[in-house]
Amino acid sequence: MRIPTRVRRLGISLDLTPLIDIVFLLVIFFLVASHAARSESTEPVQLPLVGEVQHEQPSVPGRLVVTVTADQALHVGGRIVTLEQITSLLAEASAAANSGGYEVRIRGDRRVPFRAVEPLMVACAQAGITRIGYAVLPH
Amino acid sequence: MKIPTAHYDRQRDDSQAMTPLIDVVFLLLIFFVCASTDQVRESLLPTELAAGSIESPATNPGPRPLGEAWVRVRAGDGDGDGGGGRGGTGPRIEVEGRSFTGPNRHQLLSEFLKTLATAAPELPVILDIDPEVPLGEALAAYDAARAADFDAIHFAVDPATTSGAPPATAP
Repeated sequence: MRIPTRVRRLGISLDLTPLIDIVFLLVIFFLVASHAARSESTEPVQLPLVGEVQHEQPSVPGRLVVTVTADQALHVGGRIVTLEQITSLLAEASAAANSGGYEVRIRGDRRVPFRAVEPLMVACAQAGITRIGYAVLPH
Repeated sequence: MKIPTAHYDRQRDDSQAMTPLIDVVFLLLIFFVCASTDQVRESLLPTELAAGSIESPATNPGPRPLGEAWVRVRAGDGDGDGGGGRGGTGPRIEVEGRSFTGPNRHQLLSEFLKTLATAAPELPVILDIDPEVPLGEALAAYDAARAADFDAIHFAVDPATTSGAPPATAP
C-alpha cells in the first residue's frame, strides 16, 4: 500500500510569482493609461512633410507645445487657448528663455494658412524665445 | 519498515523558476505591441529665431551683403496640402524673377537655391509668405532654404497684420 507523503521544499521558499505579476500588470496599466490620456489631449493634425528633419529631440528644461488644428484653433495642453493667453505664457517663460532653456514647438496642420502661425512666431520673438521648432514628418 | 514522511521536489522548483520570466516577457511583448500601435514618430524642423531687438539692420556691424534673395510664396488655387503637390497647380513660388509652379516646384526651388547658395552663401534669404499660403507650403520653402545652407534665413512679416517686430532666423 502506498502511503501518501507530504511534499517538503528545500529551505524557506517565497513564491514571488504573483507579486511580480501584479507589479508588472500595474506598471503596464499605468503606462497604457497615461499614454491614452496623453493621446486624448493630442489633437490630430496632418503634419507638414519636409525633407530636412531633425530626428533627435533636443532636451530642454521647458517646452511649450502649441497645436494649430485645421480649423485654426490654438491648443495648449488639450485646451483651446487664445493668442493672448499664449503670449502671457511666453512672457512668464521669458526668464527661462534668456538662458536658452525654453523651447516652443508648433504642431501645425499642413493645411492651415500661414496667418494662423505667423503671430505665434512674432510672439516668441517678442518674448525673447529664440528656440522654436515645427513638428513635421519626413518625406 | 521505514515510512518516508517527506521528499524533496527539486524538479518542481526548477520548473516554477521559469514562470515569472515567461510572464514578464509576454507582458512586455504585449505592452510594446500596444504602445507601437498608431504611433507616428514626429520629427522636428528647428528654427532659431532672433529676438525682436535685431530688426534694425543699421546696428549690424558686419559687412553688408550685396543683395537679398526674396522667396515669395503666393497662394494658388490648386491643392492646399503643401506636402506633395498632388493635383492642381498649387501655390506659386517666385525667386529672383523666376516662378516655380506645378507638382515639382519644391524640387525646382531647392535646386535653384542650392545653386544660389553655392555662389553666394552669405546672401540673406527672406521668405515672404502670403498669409493664405498653407503652412505645409511655407515650411517646404523654408526647408528648401535650409537645405541650400544659406547663412541666414529671415521671415518677412507684414506689420499691418501683426503689430510686432519681424522675426528672423539665423541657422
